[in-house]
Amino acid sequence: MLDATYRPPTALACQNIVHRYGGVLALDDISVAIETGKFVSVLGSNGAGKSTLGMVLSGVLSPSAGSVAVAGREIRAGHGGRIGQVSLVPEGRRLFGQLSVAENLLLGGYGAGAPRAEIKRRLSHILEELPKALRDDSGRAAATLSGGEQQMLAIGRALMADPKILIIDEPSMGLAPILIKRVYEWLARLHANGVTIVLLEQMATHAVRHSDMLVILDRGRVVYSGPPTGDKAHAALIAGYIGEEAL
Amino acid sequence: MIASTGNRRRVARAAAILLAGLATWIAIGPAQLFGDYIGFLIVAIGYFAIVTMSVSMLAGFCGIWPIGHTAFTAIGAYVTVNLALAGLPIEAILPVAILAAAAIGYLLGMTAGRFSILYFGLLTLAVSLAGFEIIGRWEDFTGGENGIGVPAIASLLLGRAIRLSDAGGYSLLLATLAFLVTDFVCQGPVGRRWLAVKSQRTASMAVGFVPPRENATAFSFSAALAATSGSAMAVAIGYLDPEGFSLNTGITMLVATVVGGTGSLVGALFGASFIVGVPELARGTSNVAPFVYGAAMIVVLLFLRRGVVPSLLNIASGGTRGTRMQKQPSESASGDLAELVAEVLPSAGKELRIENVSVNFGGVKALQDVSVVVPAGRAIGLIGPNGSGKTTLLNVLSGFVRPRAATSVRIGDTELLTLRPWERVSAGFGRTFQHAELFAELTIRDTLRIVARKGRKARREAGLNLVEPDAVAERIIRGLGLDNVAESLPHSLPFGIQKVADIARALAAGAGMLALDEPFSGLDADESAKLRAILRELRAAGVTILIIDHVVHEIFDLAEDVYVLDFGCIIAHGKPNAIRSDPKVREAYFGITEPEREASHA
Amino acid sequence: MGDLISLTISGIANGSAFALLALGIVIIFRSTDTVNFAIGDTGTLVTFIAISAITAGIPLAVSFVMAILLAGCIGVATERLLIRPLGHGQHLLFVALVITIGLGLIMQAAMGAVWGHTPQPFPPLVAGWVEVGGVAISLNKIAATLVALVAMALVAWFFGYMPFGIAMRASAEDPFAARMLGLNTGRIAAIAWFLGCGLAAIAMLFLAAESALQPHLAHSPLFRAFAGVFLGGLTSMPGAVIGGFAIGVLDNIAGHYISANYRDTIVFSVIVIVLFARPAGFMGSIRKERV
Repeated sequence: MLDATYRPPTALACQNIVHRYGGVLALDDISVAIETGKFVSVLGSNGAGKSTLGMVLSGVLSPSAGSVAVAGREIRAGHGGRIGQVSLVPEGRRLFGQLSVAENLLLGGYGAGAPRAEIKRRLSHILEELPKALRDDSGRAAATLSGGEQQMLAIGRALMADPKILIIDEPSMGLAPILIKRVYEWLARLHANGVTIVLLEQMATHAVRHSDMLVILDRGRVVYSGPPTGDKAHAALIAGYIGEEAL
Repeated sequence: MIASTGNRRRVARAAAILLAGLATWIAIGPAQLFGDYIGFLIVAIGYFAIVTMSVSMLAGFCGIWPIGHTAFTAIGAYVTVNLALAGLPIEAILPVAILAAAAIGYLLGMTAGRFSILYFGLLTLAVSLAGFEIIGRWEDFTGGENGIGVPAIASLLLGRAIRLSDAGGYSLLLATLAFLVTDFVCQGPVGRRWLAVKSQRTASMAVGFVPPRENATAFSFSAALAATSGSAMAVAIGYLDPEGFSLNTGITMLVATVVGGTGSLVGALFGASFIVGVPELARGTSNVAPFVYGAAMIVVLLFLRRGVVPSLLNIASGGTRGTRMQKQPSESASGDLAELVAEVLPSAGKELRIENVSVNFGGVKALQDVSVVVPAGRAIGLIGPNGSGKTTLLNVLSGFVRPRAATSVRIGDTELLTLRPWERVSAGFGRTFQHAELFAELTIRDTLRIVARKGRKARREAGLNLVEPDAVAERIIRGLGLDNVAESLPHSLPFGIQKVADIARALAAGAGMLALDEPFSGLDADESAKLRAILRELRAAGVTILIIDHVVHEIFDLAEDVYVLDFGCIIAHGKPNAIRSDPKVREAYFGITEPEREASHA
Repeated sequence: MGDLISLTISGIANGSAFALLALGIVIIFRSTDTVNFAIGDTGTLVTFIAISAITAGIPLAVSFVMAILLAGCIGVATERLLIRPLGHGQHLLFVALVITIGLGLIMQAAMGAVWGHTPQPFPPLVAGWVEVGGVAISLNKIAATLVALVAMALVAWFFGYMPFGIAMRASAEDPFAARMLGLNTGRIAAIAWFLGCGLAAIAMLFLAAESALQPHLAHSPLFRAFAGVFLGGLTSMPGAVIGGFAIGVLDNIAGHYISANYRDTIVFSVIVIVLFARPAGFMGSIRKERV
């Protein structure tokens, strides 16, 4: 009797997450709730724990302690793979360099278990979003692409799973401003289409502009959680050593 | 202070090796502590330890696991026999055998760079199998399948022929010498260089190391050791059977290396004892030895990855080294980098002039007629969208890519294009890497020391006071605030500090001109501020700097002139303010088109 | 000229075993970045088990199928217990290779202990001889050649048609990223090792009927299979098969015209020349790097 269009208010949430790498504490009792359809930015300097949190939220990393829930339902620990509906674009993209553009995209669909015809449809759709150079020569090995092209391909690959929630880790690293702009435009389009976006970043400017909500991490702890504007937010950004571009 | 502790340690090790060798010889020789048979086993452990060490050294320092070192023991053994038959004394025979193996090893090692380590390992397997076949067939030299007896060998030092009772002493003498030499080489700068080339081939070329040469010398040294083992074996056993050079034996040597531990002297002894001891203990029952070998290898590789000896030492010393450090504030640089530059850089302040460089990859024009000038002692920025050719330009400067056409690429008066990549740093060209690419298996201090050696000659010629590598390294560590982290391995350091260490490495090499590859990429605001300060001071001290990056506000702050690259062409060049407002640049690089600009002004 | 033709034909027949082994090696390498040195011994081991089964009265064909399936299972166990715990990374390539050498040693020792070192006869799947192009070839060899070709076709279909081939290559290159996308890297590895070792078993079952069965049976063919892999490229499956057949022909021709005594040396020289001329093999692809 559930309405098919029912969307649970909390798309993704984690509770009391603790994670250690060997002897080093990366996340120290983190609880974050991400509402459906929102654009949430998690900001923090190097080593604050953003990437670790991203991996925990997407199910790839099972935390030392704590729980993760998707749409209100808790996910079992030790998952180590993907949680359906959540796609991660990891830091550094992690494309399969020896495989072609098309093959990287196809894998995004296969991994999510979509039927063949559906994968084909999504492939042509996603190719439209990618730069023309990739569309025209989708047989190129991914390792030969420029940084910007690789970032776009990585996002495309994650989208091939038709996720409801997209977690994207430091997309702006090594990218020229024009490409950063294009990436954020794509994210904004996805957001407008109802995809919940979790952005992990160091460079606050663009992130703040697009976000509904801001979470700031410092050394594994949440030091701010709330709207992206206002004095409190501003003060937290400065205190967290998060730079602003002077442009 | 640190230097002399290092030397004292090395002398202590050498003394320990000498004592051990002497004690063993006395035990089995004059003192007759053991019977003949045990004595023979100890001698066998001696010459097997030499060849185990030769394999272990290559594996540990070059990442190559040679599956076919029996070819080199064979050279040592059969050369010894044949020259002895020709009447030469042992003092002449041994050097010949060693040289023959070393020469072939050098040639083989030179080719290592062309292949991945996997292919190269399989190549060594092929060599040993072919070698084994040749041994079986070449009857004149090896006696064929029946084997060949070792005749009495004259010795000039002894003044008579070597008797059976001397054979053990010969073996132990060679083992002791081999251990001494290997320890000396591997613990010294040569071994450090091998480790650098092993982990970061590209970065090592950028500081002046020559990977093919390092591979060749390492392989040659290893082959020489193996030949020594073969010679000792020939004299000790008195008879050569081709089976001793078969693939099975080659695998047995691998077992010894794996079980004992790579890169460890004591490990080589342990491994050799293992492969001598097991067949002895299993006397009577066949099939036990291969079974024990296989099981031991599997157990060790699964649970004691680095080998029994290194793993035990690790446990004894209290556990894992180098867990990732939590980010902590680094020491700030000790004030004036101008002093540092004056003291350690022989050639700061030369102009970099790139004229009309064009590069094609297949049909793609990566660079079209690009010219950039970085005046002496100034900082110039280079920006451009991804794929615009910035990386290619840097690779042309480094020597990894050859331009299709170019008028010239000069530092000062020196033309770079005619120089190999590893020759460019002595012309003054230094570079850093986007991902730092520090030498993974060396501490920061060790890295700076071996790199500083390359610049010794240039520093002496420039009349600098600081010439000795250790002193130069310490000065740089102090100057850049790396004191806290100098003994750490790169992977345990925060990224920001790794990047500073990368700059330190370029300075240690004596580069007076620095090309920085996306130095600010991946750094947070705190780390960026520290790097900015360092670069400002270097610039003020007269170092010529070319910064390639996307973090535009840093470039505009540091550089007085900025070039903009797009699709392989320079589309703009000028002061930061002019670049910032240039419409071509705004559109191509910042993605701000005219209508947007209008709208934002409305 | 007649000699050459007959040498070539018998060479191709000989090469079928090398081709099967080579294909097995490449499948395992492409899926898990591991060179499995124990693959030949795995095949020999199940061949011994087959002879015991046949002697115990189990029908020939059943024993053969059993042996092949058993080899596959041993392959899966090897990957799960010995290779996966090692982890992943370029620096571990050699460790994995060496651990399979260790496994090979254990297998050889076991075979010697249980069945002894004396060469034993082994029944061919199909007995008899036939004349092809003027040379007598055993039906066993012809069957082996046909099976090798069919196997290659099936494998090509399996990897081309299904997404498995792409998933396998991705899983070898970056298992973390593969799992992140939702691929079951464990299952992919298991399938590849099952296939690879199964193919090796087929090769050894045929070879045992040609020469006699003894624990070291796989050594010489394995060396030649590696030569075939180098010829065809470590990354190319069709290349491995063609390379295997080519080495069979080369081995024969060189042995006849140059020297019967130095066959290993000749094969080795071929490997060296190919590696220097085309490090990736004739059909392999150079790993692409962005400059």
